[in-house]
Amino acid sequence: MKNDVRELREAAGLSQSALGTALGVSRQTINSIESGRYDPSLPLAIAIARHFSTTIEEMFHVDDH
Amino acid sequence: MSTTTKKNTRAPLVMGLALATVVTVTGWLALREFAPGNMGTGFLVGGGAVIVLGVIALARTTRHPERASTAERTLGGVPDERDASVLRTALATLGGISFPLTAAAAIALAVGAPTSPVIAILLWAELLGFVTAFYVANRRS
Repeated sequence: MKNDVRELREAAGLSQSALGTALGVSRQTINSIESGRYDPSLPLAIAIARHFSTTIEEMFHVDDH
Repeated sequence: MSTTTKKNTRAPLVMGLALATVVTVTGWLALREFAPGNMGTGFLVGGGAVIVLGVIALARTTRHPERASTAERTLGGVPDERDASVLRTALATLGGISFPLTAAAAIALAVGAPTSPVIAILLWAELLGFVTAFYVANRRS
């Protein structure tokens, strides 16, 4: 599943480590989410969306291909 | 889900390490007296390795949580959700490979293979399978 986490994080001027700390997960988890290797749980996806004042639907996109 | 938030997850881990130490020393003493060969030494080395790794993981996740690896956070008792997912995958793989490995060991024993080496190989194969699965799952997620 693709997502806009990297773009939103960089626009907010946050490092992966800082975002991870804010969300209570590791830097590696943020990196894996951004690169699409790991799909976050629903609670974490909601937390990320709330952190960037957006919605899950706007942030995560189903990869059809 | 938390990685950096220091919940009260350390107490069970410290108690677990203390219990592991007691079990390791007790098992070593018992096996040294009653078991054949060097089983006691093997038990002591294996148990000691787990305890040392646990202490290292505890120290690393306490002093430098941002630099800790997936394995260190998991062993240190503060895994986040991705770490837990990696561990679940590795444990599921271990469960899956245990059946054929145990069957192979049973066949080997049935045809007259010596018991101790077969059991030792079985244990090492399961350990290797778990570590490999953890590494691969960590790299892929």
